Amino acid sequence: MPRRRKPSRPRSRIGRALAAGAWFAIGLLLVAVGVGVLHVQQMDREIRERFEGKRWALPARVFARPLELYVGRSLTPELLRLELEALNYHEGDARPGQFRIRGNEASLHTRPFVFSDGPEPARSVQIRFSHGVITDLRDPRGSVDLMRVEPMLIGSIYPTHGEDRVLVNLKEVPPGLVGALLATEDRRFLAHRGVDPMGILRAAWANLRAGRTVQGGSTLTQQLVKNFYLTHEQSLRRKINEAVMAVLLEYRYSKEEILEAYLNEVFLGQSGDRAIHGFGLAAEFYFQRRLHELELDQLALLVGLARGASYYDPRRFPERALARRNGVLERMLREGLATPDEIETAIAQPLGVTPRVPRGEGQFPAFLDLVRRQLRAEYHDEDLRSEGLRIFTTLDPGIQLTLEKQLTEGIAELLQARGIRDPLQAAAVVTDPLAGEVLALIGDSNPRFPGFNRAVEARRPVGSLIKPFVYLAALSDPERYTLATLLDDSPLTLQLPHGEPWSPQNFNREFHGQVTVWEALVQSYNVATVRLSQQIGVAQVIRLLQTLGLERTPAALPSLALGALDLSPLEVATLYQALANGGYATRSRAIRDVLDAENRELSHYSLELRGAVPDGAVRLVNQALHDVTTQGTGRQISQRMPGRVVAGKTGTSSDFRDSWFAGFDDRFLMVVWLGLDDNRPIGLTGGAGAVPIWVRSMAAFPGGSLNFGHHPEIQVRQVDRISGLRADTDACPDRIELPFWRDSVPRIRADCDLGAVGLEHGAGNWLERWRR
Amino acid sequence: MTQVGEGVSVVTIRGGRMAAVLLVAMTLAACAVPAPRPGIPAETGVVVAPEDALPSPEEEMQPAAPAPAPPEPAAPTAPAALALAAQSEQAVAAGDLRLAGLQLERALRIAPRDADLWSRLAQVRLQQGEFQQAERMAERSLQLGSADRDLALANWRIIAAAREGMGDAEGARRALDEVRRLERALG
Repeated sequence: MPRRRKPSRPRSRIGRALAAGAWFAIGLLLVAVGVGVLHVQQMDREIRERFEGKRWALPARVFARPLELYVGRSLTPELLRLELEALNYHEGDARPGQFRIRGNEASLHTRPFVFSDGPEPARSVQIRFSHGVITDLRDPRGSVDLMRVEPMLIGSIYPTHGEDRVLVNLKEVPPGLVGALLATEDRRFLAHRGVDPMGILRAAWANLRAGRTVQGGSTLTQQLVKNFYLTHEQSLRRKINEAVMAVLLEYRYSKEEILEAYLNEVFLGQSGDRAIHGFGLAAEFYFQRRLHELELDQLALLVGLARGASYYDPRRFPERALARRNGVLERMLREGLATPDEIETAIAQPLGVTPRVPRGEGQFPAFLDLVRRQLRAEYHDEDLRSEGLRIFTTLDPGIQLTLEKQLTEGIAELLQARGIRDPLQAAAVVTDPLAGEVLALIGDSNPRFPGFNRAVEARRPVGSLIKPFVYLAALSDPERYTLATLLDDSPLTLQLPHGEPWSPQNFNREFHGQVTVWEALVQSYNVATVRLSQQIGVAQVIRLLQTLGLERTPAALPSLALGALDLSPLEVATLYQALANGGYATRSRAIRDVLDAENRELSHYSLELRGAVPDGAVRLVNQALHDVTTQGTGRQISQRMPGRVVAGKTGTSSDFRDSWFAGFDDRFLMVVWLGLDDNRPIGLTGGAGAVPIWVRSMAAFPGGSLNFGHHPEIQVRQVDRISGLRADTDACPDRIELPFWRDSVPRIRADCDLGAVGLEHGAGNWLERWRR
Repeated sequence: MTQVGEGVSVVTIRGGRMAAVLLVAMTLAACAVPAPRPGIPAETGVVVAPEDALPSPEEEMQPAAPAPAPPEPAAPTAPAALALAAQSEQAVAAGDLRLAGLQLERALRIAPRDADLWSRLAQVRLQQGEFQQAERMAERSLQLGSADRDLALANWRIIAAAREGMGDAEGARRALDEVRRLERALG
């Protein structure tokens, strides 16, 4: 017993202590295991959420309209080159993304692309041009009816954290890339289970021998985890978490899934706020090519960047990057991933990185701003930034780039010729009036400057740009008004409702007495126009403007007829579209389709005809607007574009604060505004400022002539310019040819014409002419 | 997950739109339920409804003296646009009106003044229950192709059906008068 007791005492003391300690330890262990399990579970959940949920926030991509190619299309080799270079196509004739232009022939290898109406395959075609038109289009199998080139990426709407990527599928990744990546970063990737103790040991040994860190021991899986949770904290705790998560990742997912995630996740560069993630985007960012189009040396460079994209940045540290790339290539040689010849060739290549970050992104800030405005009406900002939407717009890169060039040069010329020292501002819109699509937009005299978008936001007094609508309202009633109807352009004083009497003046401060409607519009007479608007009622003009797309109700003041109405260039374009489109108003769309990341259509903004005005009346107005460009306030247009039938109107606001021109040919409509942001006078009329820019731009677009041919309800007759009466013979010295709508030809003949009947060949004819 | 939620909501929107189109299409089939006719303000004296802009067939058939110049031959439609029109026919036959609409819009960007293309798109819009667009596009087609009586007949039929669909019985009756007149003229 004592023996039993004896030890029992110490046992009871020590043993109790031991037991308590053991229990405590067990408890602690249990808690630790519990916490550990919870922690691991937590990490597991995180991993799964990250991997199975929406893995990446994908920016919305905004595309220009695709270039459509078909026989009969207006296109010059120069414009084709402009478009293809904007798409980062290169000279060559072997691979997609290459082209060659020689004289009037071109060869082109397009890339495949998925549009809203289905996929467009890659094609290799030969194109022949003649006089600015495609006359032949064929691929190896025969002639091609119609094809389109992939659209240009003109912008992205990034996630708030600035991560940008172009997802790639493991199947489409060049095998050389995977080989190079595994050889460099994780040779035992296919064998290990997330962490690689051998690799760690080997790296430790190498680092020990070198006395510094020359090798990392972390596996691709660990690097992926690190990239997923971008913390740059260097601690044991993080390392352990990373290792646990890597093991979990390997437990849950296949090697292929992990590799694909790595290829899309790894950080490979930075451009301003934009972080370049994944090899898909890196290929475009550094080489402006698709990943599968890259050569061995280019793949090796990208693989080299995975270890430190900032340190090896090929644009900032080309020598460092070159050494790194060649290191990767040598490693590939050692691993037998390429033949010595291939490696030798690759090593001999220069870096080949494009010197600048690709253009395109943010290249057209005003247009992109318009797209965002139209998107905001239907989409949440967050969805635009994260859902990988694809937005197909109406921008025509060839027209946009041409407009930018012409506007910039035109302004420089104007500043020099006129000695203008003020910061002249400009805005311009080009639309396809028949489709109601915005083709090009400039919101600043520096088209690349992403600031105040004057084309959309700056509402300025339109001056005489309004007049065609006053006359259209009148001419819609052919029993009361024709182009030959006389208007009174003599002094006029109106009593305004709440104020001073108002006496409108003409531009030249003169009055012209009785003038025809045609003359008053072509010569832009103010007083006659105010009288006309009073006769038909200003409210009627406002209703017309609203039918044609004005979305406001301006006050019905008499001065409205002279353009006391503030409109943006885009609003002006929308109104003029109806004139260019047979009287049918259309929207000014900037977006055609929005597709989700799986190419399902979310929105389609279809071609729509809105309110309409009679096309016969529009035809009369257009005749006068054409004559504006030959003998009116824009007559320099016909001198600078001989042989082209176009129509348009100048606008000048009071004290020369705003200089406008709006006009169109058969395919394009363009509005130009010039002025100063602080609204001081700039001293330019519409004719002196906006017209030269309009005419040089329109001359550079591939448009044609307006067709004033047959119309079932229009009769064309000669009238005496002064009296507006019929003048069938050439006895009247000053005749004009005018269209009349719906049997509204003047029935009364002019005096000169009547006089000529009896004296057809006599001296009286001459006398008659003399008297006139 | 946001993506899925987003997808679902989008599908719902599209589903809703489809349902609406179907409903309208059924309405058309029944030709019974009148719908208000939106669009051009009726009270304007000067801004007339588009149908007034159209040449009346009477004038075409009995040209007032002096006779108007002979119509200029319409420019031949680019083969590209014809190919798209043929594709859109297949899409219509397969019941894919959305695709047919996309193809005709694309064709119209190539040949924006082609009366036949406008008439085809009007027909698709009619089948989609977009009556107002159907009516306007058929009118645009008439405006552009006033010399082609077969086309005019097709357009007036579309206009009649579209007005019927919008509940404009009076307008539909006037359009049907034109249809009968053209039918007689064409024998």
